[in-house]
Amino acid sequence: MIKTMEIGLILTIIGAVLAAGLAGIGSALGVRLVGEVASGLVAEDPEKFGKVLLLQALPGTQGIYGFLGAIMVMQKIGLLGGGIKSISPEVGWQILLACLPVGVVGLISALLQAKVAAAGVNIVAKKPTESGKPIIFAAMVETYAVLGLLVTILLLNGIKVG
Amino acid sequence: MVTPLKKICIISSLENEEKILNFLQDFGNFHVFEFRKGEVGKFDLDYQIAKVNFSLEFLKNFKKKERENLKEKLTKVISPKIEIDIKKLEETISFFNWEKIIQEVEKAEIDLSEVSFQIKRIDEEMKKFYPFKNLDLNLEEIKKTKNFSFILGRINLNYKEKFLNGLEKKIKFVEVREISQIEKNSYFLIIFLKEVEKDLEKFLEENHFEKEELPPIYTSFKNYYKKLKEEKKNFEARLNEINEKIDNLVPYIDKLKIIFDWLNWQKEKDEVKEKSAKTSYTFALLGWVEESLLNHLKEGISKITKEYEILELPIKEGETIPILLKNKEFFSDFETVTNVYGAPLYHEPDPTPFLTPFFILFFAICLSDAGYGLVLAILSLFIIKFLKLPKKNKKFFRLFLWLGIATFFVGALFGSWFGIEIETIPDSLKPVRDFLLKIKIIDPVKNPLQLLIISLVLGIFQILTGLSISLWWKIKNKMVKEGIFDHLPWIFLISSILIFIASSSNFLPMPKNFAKYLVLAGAIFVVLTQGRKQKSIFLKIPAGIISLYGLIGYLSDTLSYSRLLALGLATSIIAMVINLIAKIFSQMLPVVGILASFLVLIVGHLFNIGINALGAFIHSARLQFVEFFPKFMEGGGARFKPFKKEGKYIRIINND
Repeated sequence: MIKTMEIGLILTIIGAVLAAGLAGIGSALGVRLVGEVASGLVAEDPEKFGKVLLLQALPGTQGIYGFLGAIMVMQKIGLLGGGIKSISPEVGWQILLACLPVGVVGLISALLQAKVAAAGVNIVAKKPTESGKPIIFAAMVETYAVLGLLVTILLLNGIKVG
Repeated sequence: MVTPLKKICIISSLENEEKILNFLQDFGNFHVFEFRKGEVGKFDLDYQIAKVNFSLEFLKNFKKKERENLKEKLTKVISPKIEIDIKKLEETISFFNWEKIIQEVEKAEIDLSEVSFQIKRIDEEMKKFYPFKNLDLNLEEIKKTKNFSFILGRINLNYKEKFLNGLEKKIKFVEVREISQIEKNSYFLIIFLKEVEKDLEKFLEENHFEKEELPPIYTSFKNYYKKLKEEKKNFEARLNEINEKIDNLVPYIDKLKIIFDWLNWQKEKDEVKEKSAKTSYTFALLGWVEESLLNHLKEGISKITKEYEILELPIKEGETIPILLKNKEFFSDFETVTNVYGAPLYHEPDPTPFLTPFFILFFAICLSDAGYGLVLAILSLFIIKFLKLPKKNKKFFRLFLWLGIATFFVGALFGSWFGIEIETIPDSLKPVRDFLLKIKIIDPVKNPLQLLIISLVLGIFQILTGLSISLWWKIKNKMVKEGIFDHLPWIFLISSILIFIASSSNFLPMPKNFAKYLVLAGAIFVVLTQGRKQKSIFLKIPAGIISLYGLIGYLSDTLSYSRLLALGLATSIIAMVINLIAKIFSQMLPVVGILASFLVLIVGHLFNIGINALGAFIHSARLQFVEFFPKFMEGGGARFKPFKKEGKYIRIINND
């Protein structure tokens, strides 16, 4: 028999795992996509490495946001030291749900942002002087990951533990 | 500021064209405008440029790593161009026999590939003959006989014994000679009477014997191998010679780079010639020049010839005028941000000075750590002070110096120092702790809502600023009525909403109803003015009501500023996590753990600075481009591209 307190803890951990996991998967796939396209350009023109590296890094931020969400959860329930707090199933569910914005939006926005960034590699190839513009295009997509993170942070901040 | 330009037409005699173009290219402030669509076809120069480029690419592979100290290396990474003064440049162009050098490079390249190919071929041949290199026998002699034949091949040592014994027993008229043993194989020559060939073949197949086919050579293997060796030696000697020759050519790289750029300048000049209009005796060149430099230009040309005419042409309505942004020292550093977006139109204000304070502040809130700001500022200052950089590159680092300083102050207000919670600073440093606590006014991690509200208010403030700039610009350009009717109602409405929110959350001591009426007045104001362009009186009011929908646009613009909070929190929480991981490391193991935790701290914080400075920069820039600029400008202006000597490899410095 699992005690109810343990159910709360498990739900909380699932939340942290989803935040870091989903957003991390999105970022990994996204960074891969841009990296592949960028390699094509760098093979032709190695000097553009620095510029396309910035583009490749962009879809990587979602993973960091997810990681951030997970850490906030861990800190909240005392997993990082200070003793694990007791968590009721209700609070567990609350924390799990609070983790979803950063996880789900992170996953999808990283994939979509990667497509924009990969297309932006074209701009860097053809118009090196305009290489700031594709970065802004990609950042337009990232807005929603930032907002997802914000919602997760605010929700976690509002949930009372113990 | 958008620099005022003059559209001019330079007319002079054809014989002066070359000289005048040379002057204009050195002058570097004349934007050539196409008179006619010139055929930008192939130039002879293209071929020469390609040749020089080929030589450069080829020689680059042979360049030895130079010993440089860190300072030189850093300078090269940030600003890789060679600096050269005009005297040395002219010297190189007139005295350096680059055509000869290029011929030598081309010859060396052909020789090198030929010799390398030969060496590779001989190596392969030698590899094939290697196991039989001691065989002092011309096998072709055996082929000539009527009754005898031979087979070459190898067998694995494991089967050798069985093979030799069996061969002796089963097949007659056969002579076996073991020639060499290499690794796990033994190599054999088998000479046999032709009549036993079939039996032999069958036996060999059954006993794991592998045949080797070698090309006919008409001499003994021993001799042949020796010959190959000698041949290789000769080729290697030639290879050395060629490499030496190439090594002697490598020092010309820098001079070839100068020639490469110089040829490109000549080509650009030819292109300009194509753009000018010509009669049998004269040419006319259209272009733009800064108003303040027009006299300088006239003076320069009058030094070349007296037979010239410079006409100032009127600017037609709707004509595209190139944009040259010029700002005072401090603001000019932020042109980098504007340039990412592009240029405004000629009749629009330069957004650079307006975005500057917002950009600095937003970046600082996004990075939000005093320690990180300090690191950024010190790094930038170091680069500016200690590396000899051209002005253009310095601008960029000065920008980061300002951003770093601002981040330092904002971070101090947030009480974030490398992610350390200042409450945990030990008692031995009590004065420091107390001081830091005293200047800490906002705690975004514990109380994010406070910073969220600040972010949104900053956003509204920037939107209002944008509208005000537009209002001011229209009034300045004598569109007073349009400016006032377009923008003032909105400015009033948005401000009154802000006041309403402030008073209803008891932030402003004001009767609630008063604020309510203020908002209502604002809305009526908007409804009455925004539909005024409709012709029918029955449409004016409905169009005004519909325009209230614009409020949603302003609302979403405002909410977009919440990213300031999110990015700020991201930096400080990751910084805390890095400290936490380092702490765990140091507690896990003695000594090694402490070293590891140091590594985690340094690498981790540097990573955090890098990734978050990038994020802070692009998101603050986005707020300017998407939320701020459209309030007062359209953008999309063409850039002022002067005809000048801009090199891929070199930069001319003036010694005067």
